[in-house]
Amino acid sequence: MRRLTTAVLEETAEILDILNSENSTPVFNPSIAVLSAIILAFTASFSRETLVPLFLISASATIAFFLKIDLKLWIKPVILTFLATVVISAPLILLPENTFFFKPEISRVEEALSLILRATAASAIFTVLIIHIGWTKLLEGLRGLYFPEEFVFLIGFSIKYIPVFLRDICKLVAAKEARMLKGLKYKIAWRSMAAVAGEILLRSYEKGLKLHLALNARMFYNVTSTLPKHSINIYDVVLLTFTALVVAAVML
Amino acid sequence: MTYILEVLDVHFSYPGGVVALRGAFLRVRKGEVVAVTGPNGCGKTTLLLIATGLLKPDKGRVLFDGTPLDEQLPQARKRIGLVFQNPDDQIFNSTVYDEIAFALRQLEIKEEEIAERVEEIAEKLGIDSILKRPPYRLSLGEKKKVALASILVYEPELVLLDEPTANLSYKTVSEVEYIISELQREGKTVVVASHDVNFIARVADTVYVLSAGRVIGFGEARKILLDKDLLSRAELAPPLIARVAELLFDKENPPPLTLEELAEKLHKHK
Repeated sequence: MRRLTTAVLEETAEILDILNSENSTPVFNPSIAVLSAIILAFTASFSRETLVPLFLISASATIAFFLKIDLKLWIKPVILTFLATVVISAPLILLPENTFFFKPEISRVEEALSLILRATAASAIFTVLIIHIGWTKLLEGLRGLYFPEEFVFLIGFSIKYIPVFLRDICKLVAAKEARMLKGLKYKIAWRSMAAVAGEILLRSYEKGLKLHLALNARMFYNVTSTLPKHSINIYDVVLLTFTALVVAAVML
Repeated sequence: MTYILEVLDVHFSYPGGVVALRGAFLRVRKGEVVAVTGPNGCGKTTLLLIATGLLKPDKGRVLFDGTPLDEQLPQARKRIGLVFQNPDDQIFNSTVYDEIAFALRQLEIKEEEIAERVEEIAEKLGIDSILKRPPYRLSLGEKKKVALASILVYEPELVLLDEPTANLSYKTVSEVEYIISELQREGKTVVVASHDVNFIARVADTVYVLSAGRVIGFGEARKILLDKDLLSRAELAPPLIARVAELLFDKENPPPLTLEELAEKLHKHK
């Protein structure tokens, strides 16, 4: 069971690590990239047609190809979102409305498929643009769009913190299992793993505090007073036009 | 006398009421190596965090280059580097390269220069072959070197090292000692928090002894490290070489502190 737990935790950490990358020379202006990522993800999530999400998934793949983003990196979070939505949408197919009884209905497959596609498309387009600009530029982009500093800090901190913390949990789970002397009976193992939860809560505060100090130790500027200036180029215009066209296509 | 760092009468309590510092102080001259020693939980780490402006003292002042540190933050952090005791608390990037380059990217340096400086420091510390690897897959010694490289790369004037030798192999400890001597030769100031008196004897010019959040003694390294009473009050003992010399010779003046000094004494006694 530890193997499964640690595998899930480590994979999740690795996926978040994908956003924890840097690109000092992105093609797009960070603010425009972040704005487009948010609008396109929003559009994908709320589109009624299945064509729009399908188009956005293929557009994301094309952008990834042209921006020379490692496809393996981009595909991981997309697949994770896809699998998570498949699990979440299963009740839509298996449990019809107003009943708790198991009764599969093929007519609801389309509804479930739409949900899966919309979530996957939102994840695909958002991830491709964010991977491209990287962590530092993501924060600059959010600040450029006048997001509250607390929100920007929370986003930046989460991307750094969650992978570190998940790996810490893996160590904790391993340490717990190492002391399970009666063998790996599921009942005992579950009880032991459940006991890790309290420990995790306590550790998360400690770890968060230390990471905050470590980040502060190497942050040299007052972020709000020294926002770097980024010019707008032809690629930004193309991206904005593309975003506007997708939104228009959904609305009309 | 020019002090680069002055921590004056600082008091600090953590949330929950744990008192870490009770009027501790520290004065560091430019270009010297100062060691802060004491038992576990005596407040060494807290003192370093306050000295770098990462924690605000409940009472007391921190002066950096003669002016209050809090008035110079965050810009002053370019001149101060802190290496955490546990590298896992300090390292937060997805590759070793990004970790070392993190501070330089804050300085808006061109990527080519960043790459040059990262490779230079990595080569100096012998970690150039692991630049593309994720830090969490490294050994503790390698992680410590990455943490050190991520600080040395932006060339701070004041380097603070929290327990730099804890759990390291003999070879890595020797490398850390060499780095400290190199930093001193370059005119940098180093503050080391450690309870390893043997290591302190080899690197420090001045030693502060901390116990229960108070400085119970400070002064020239030799004088402090041979003061058995003072050290025992801080649950410490003089360096091994000094203890061996005490067994071998009668009251020697000055007693040896390092292996080289002991060898010289033995040579004279032949």
